[in-house]
Amino acid sequence: MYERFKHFIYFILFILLFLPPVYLFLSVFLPSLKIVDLSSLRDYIFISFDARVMLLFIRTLSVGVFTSIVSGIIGLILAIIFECSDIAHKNIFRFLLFLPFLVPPYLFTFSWLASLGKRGSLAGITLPNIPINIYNPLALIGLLSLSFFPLPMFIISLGLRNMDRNIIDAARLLGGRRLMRRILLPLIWPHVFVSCIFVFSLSVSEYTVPSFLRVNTYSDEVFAQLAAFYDIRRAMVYSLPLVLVSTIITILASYYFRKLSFVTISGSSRKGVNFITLSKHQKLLAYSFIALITLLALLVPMGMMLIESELSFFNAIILARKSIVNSILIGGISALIITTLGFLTHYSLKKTRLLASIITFPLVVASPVMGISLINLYDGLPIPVYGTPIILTLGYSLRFLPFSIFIFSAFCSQISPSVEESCRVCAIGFFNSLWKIIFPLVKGGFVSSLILIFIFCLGEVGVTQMVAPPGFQTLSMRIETLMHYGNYRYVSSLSLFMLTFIFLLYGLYGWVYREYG
Amino acid sequence: MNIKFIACCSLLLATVLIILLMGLAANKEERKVVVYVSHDQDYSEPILKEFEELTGIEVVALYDTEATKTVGLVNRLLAEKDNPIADVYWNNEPMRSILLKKEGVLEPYCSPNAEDIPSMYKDGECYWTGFAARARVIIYNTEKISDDEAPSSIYDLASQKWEGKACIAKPILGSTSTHAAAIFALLGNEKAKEFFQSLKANGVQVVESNSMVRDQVVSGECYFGLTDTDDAYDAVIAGKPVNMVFPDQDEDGVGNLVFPNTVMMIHGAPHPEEAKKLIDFLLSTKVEEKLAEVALQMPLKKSSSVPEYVPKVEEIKPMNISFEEIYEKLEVSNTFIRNVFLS
Repeated sequence: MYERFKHFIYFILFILLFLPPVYLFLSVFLPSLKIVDLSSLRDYIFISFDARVMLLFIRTLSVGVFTSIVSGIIGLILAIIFECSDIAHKNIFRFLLFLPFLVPPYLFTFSWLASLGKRGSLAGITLPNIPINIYNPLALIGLLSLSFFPLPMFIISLGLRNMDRNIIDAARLLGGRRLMRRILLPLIWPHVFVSCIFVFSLSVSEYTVPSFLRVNTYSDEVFAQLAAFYDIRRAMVYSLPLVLVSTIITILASYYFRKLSFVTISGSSRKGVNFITLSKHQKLLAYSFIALITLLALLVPMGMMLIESELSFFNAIILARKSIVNSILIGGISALIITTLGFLTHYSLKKTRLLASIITFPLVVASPVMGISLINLYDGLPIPVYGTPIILTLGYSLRFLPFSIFIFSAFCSQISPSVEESCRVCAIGFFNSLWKIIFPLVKGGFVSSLILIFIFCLGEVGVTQMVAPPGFQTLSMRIETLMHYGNYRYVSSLSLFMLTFIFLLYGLYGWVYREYG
Repeated sequence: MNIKFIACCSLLLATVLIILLMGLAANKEERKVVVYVSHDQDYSEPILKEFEELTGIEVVALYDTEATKTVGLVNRLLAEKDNPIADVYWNNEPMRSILLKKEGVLEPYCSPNAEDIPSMYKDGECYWTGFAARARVIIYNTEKISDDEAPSSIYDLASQKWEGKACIAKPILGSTSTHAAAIFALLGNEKAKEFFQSLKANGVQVVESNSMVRDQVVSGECYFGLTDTDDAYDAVIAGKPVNMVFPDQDEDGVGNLVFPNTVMMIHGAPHPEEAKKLIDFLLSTKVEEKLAEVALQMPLKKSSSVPEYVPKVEEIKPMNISFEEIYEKLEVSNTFIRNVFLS
C-alpha cells in the first residue's frame, strides 16, 4: 500500500512541479537541438555568460550568502532567547518578531525608503546634515536580512521545541557554554542550515527589492531578458546557474544530514523549557537586542506605513474589496491543497532525501519564467485550467510546496521510525496509521504550514501577475499597481490592512495551538 | 475510519470541487470580451465600465502592474499565441504592438472610427491603431530650479551643471526604452552610444519606473528627470512643486517622442465581434476626450475637442522618425544600454 501511495505522490509531484519547467525547457530548446551543433551551443553559452553577467552572478551569490549568514545569526540568537532562556514576555516578542517575514519584502523596502530616502521624515529629523545612502548592496543585505530573519528564527525554534527534554536535562550537568557548544548547537545545526538555504534561495531570486535599492543583480538580468528582449530561451539559460547552485547546496546538505540522528520528541517537550538562566546583565543585553530588531524590522516600517496611509483605510478597502475577497479565497484554497500535498510528499519521500531536496529549485527560478512554463503547459488543454483561478493554485503549488515540505520535515523528522514499525506489527493499515498516529504528531506542522502558505499566497506577485485569469485581481496585484502609480496612501492603507489580517490569523493560530496543543 | 477522517476527506473534496466550479464558471459562454490592458488601471477601468454599460457586453479585463508592464501581458500573449484567451490588447505604447504583429499574434481590423487618425499613428495593415498620445517630458522641481534655468533638452541630462541631479527610469523598459531606441534611430548608433555613456558618466540616477522619476523630482532627490506626460501631470495637478516642459522644441532641436496608446485584435480571438465593438469604442472621440481630461493624453482624432490645459499633439515638434524605424533599433539600444547601466 505504501509503495502504491508513494508512486501516486511521485506522479502528483511530477505533474505539479517538474512537468511545467521540463515541458518549457523542451519546447524552447528541442527545436534547436534538431541540429546537434555543439560548437554553436558552446558559443551561445559563452556569449550569454560574459564578464558583466558573471559579475552580476557573483554579486547576487554574495548578497545571498551574506543575507543567509546575517539572518541566520539573528534568527539563531532570537530562537535561543525565546525557546531556552528565562526572559519574560517572550511569547509576545516571538509573536511580534515573526511578523516581518509575513510582510512582502517590497512593502518593507518601500517603508524604509519612505524613512531614509531624502523625502523620508526619519532621515530629515535625525540626521539632517549627514547624507544616508540607502542605495547600495550593504543596505540590500541589511533589508533582506531584516525581512527574512524570522524564517531561521521559526525553523530553529521548531527544532529547539522538539528536542527531548531528557537529553537537555542530562546535558545541563555540563554547564552553560558546554551545553551550548556540545549539545544545543549540534542538535539545531540542521535547522540552521536548512533555514539558511531557504533565505539564500529567497534572496538570490528577489527582484523588486534590489530594483528599489538600485542594485543590479542577476535576477535583473533574467527579468531583462523577458522584459526587454522577450527571450524566454536566454531567461531559462540564465536561470540554470541559480538552480544548479541551490541544488548543489541542498544535495550536500542532505548528504551531510543523513549522518545526523534526530531526537525523538515526547509530548511534554513541545512546551518551551527555560534551561538557560540569564544573569541580570545578560537579560539586559537580550532585551536590548530584541528591542533593536523589533524597532528595525517592525516598528519603523509599520510606523512609516501608518504615516503614509493618512488613515484612509476605509476608502482603500472599498476600492480593493473584490481583490481582498479573491485573495482570501484563492489563498485559503491553495494553502489547504499545498499543505496536504506537503505533508503527504514529505511523509512519502522522507527516505529519498535527494528528490525532496531537488524540489527547492522553484524558489530560485524567476517567477515570470515559472509563469510562462505554466501557460505553456496548460494553455490549450481541453479541461478548464488556464484562464481560471485553478492555474493560480497550480502556480502557488509550484512556488510554495517546498516550504510546506520543509515545515513538515522539521516535524516529521522528530517522529521515531519505531512508531510506524509498531503500527505495522499491530497490523494497523497504512491510512489508519497515517491518520491516527502520524497526523496527530504533526498537526502542529499542519497548522503552521496552512497559515504560512496562506500568507505567502496573499503576498505573491510574480507568478500571480503572469497567470491570473482575466477579471481576477488579487490584493497583492492591486497593491503593486497602486505602488507604481505612486498612490502611497492607499498602498500603505492596504498593506496595513493585509498586516492586520495576517496578525489576526497568526493570533488565531497561537490561540489554537495553545488551547488544543 | 472515523468521522474526523471522513470530515477531512470531504473538506478536501469540497475544495477541489469549488476550484473546479470556479474554473467552469470562468469559462461559461456568454456575451463578453476579454481585454488585456497595459494602460494605467485608474484611467482604463472606468472607460471599460462605460463600454459595458453602453453595450451590455461584459468586459473581463486583465491589467498589467507598472513594474511588470510589457513583461507580463506581452509575454503572456506570446505564450498564448496558439490558444489565445484574450480578444483585445490595449497597449500603452506602440513598440510591443509592432513586436506582436511580427510574431503573428495579431489579427488585422480596420475600425471605421480610425479613419481620421493620422497614418503615422496606425499600422498600414490595420494590425494596430493608435489613439490618445502621450509624450516624453522633462519634469523639474521648482524649489530647486527656476523656470529660467529649467532644462529644455535631453542633452541637459549630460550637462556637468546637473551632475548627479537628474534621473531617468530603467532605460530598457517601457517608454524610456522606446525613447532610447528613438535616440539611436535619430542620432545613429555611434552618437547615441556616446550620449548614453555621457549620461552614465554624469551620474544620472536610474530608478524603477517613470512614476518613480516623478516622485524623486517631487521629493527633490532629483532636480529634474525624464518621464511621461501623464506621470508628470499627476504631480502638477496634485499641487506638488514641479513643472514640466517638452524637450528639444527649438528650431534646431531633435524634437520630442510622441507615442500613442495602441489597440489591437488578437488572432484567433474567442469573441471577435465583441472585440471589434470594443476597439471601435476605444477609438471613439469620447474616449480620447476622456483620457485627455483625466490623464492629459493628447487626442489624435481631428474630431476630438479637449480642455485648454491639454497640449495639442500638432503643437509638439516630433522626432522625425517612424515607429517601425524606432522598433528596428530597439534590440541594439537595449543591448547597449543594458551593458552600460545594468552592471
